[in-house]
Amino acid sequence: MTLDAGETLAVVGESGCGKSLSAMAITGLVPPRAKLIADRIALKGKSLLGLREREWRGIRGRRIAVVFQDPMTSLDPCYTIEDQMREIGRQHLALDARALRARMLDLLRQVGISSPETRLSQYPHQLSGGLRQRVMIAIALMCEPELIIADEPTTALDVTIQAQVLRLLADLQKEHGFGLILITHDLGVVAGAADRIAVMYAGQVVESGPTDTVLSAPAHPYTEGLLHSIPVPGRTARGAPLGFIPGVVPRPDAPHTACGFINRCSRPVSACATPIALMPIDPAHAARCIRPCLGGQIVERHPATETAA
Amino acid sequence: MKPDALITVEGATKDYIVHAEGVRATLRALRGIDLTVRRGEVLAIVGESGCGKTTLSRLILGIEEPSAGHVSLEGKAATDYDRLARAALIQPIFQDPYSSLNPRMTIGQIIAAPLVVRGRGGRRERHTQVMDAMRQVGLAEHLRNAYPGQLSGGQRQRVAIARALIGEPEILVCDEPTSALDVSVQSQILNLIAELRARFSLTIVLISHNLAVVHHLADRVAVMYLGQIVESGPTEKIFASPRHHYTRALLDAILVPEAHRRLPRLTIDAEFPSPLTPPPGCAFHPRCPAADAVCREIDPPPVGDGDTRFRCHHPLPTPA
Repeated sequence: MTLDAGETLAVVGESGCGKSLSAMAITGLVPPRAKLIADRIALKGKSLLGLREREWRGIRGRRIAVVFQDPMTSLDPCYTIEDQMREIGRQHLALDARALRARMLDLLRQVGISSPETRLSQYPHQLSGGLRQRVMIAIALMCEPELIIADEPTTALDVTIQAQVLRLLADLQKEHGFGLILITHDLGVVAGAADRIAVMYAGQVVESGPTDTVLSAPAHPYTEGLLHSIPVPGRTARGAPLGFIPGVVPRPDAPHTACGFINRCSRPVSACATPIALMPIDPAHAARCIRPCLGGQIVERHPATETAA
Repeated sequence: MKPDALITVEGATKDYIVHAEGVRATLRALRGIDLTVRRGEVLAIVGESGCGKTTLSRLILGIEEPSAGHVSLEGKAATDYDRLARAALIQPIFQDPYSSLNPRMTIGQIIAAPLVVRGRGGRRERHTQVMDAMRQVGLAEHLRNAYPGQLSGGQRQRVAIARALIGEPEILVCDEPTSALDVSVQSQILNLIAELRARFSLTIVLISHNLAVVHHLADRVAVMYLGQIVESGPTEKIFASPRHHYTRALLDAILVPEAHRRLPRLTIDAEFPSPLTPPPGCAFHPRCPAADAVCREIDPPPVGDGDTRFRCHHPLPTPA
């Protein structure tokens, strides 16, 4: 996966597909029992592989910030909002106490919090879910990061608040120019919010491309199946059966000896019994499929020659 | 009571005593609900968390009694039924199939439980009924001896549906039946609910915050805000021309997976108020773009408009 400066990439997939793990690998934060193997992970050309803990300190929170799904568990219930914002500021910014407080108030205003002085002295439980997520975004912005990873930032929020928080992230991105990786299971969230999509399935990216292309002309049968299974008011006939993907996701410990989607695919052939590479369809759009759908037609591709190209 | 009314809720209020920051307070979760569910229809109750939709479903299920007002099923108070009689009439399907199935019982035992508690049928008869129920919800026969922990989320929700249907109830109350499931599985469960409804002429109360799902399944919609029904009417009509500003905002907030979409700019901004201290007048006025002095003082009564009802001093216009 790649992300340009100021761009939003949505990483989409169902639970257990590896979308959070992939994004967190960028920050070097993988579970203790996991081993991260990568050819290259780089931020603005500088490799992030094999960094020491001391070197990470200059990157996490400063150049890369993370906004998690549930602000109640990522904010410490025992400390006020001011304490938690100050901690990040002290760690990374050379500001005196007064300048730091001014910075905190400014950030809270930027994320749409109307009485920032009051909020600073409050504890997380005194804030609503939407306000807590705004505080998390303010903390993420503290050091003007180049990259923000937002992991299901609106999943725990009500529908009207969800739209506001997504809008806020988009507005702040325009102003601050950070790159945004938006991890979500909700293709509806992606539609308005992301420039590009990477669809993940069973630990692999199965399709990637510009949002509008992937949503209007999905090439991979998994993407296609997902889009057909979601009711859309005004488009799907009310009450008519919805599309669905038969079967279940392979277990994470299943060996990668075939296309991971073969057992649920609507159009498998014998050649699908070998691992399939992510192959380009055009310079911006790629699919891990030897029979992708292009312009409404199933196209046959040959895995060996395509992989070599 | 209308002749075709299966569930009737009249002036239902529900209070809970809570302790907020060390102070005893009354939380009025429902504030005068009037609602009729007709035989054979799917009625959706929509609204954001804390609006009271789950409390309302608990009154309908007879799990709780209203503090004031009435809830009746087939003309008889929901809490006057004995448990078995009520269970034969109305069954719930809950959001989380991970916590609503006993992990120490096999799938066969879970589905048969409603028959066992009623002492219905012998061993062999029950076995046949369990097998039928499993087939109807699309569960493979061999899963009869499996435990819930061995099943996927979608399979578990099918077990919950089979258990609900085995006693042949007339009413299903589905509280967010798909929101704990993955997208590729959600549609299978929605299809199953639609199919079973047609086959058994079920009456369904669907509780959801997902308006796309509601639009797909429901015949009528009731929109709740802070313990009140602020708008109700036929699904098509509500989606095409909502009269209440809150309904409009909910519809605007639907995020659809289509190309060339923009994020919506909602006309409401402030957040949901605390149900402990509901705003005076119209409870929605602090968030409403059309609110004025009247809205801040007088709670708008429900007004009828053909088959839709809404509570608003300044309703959105109907299309000419």
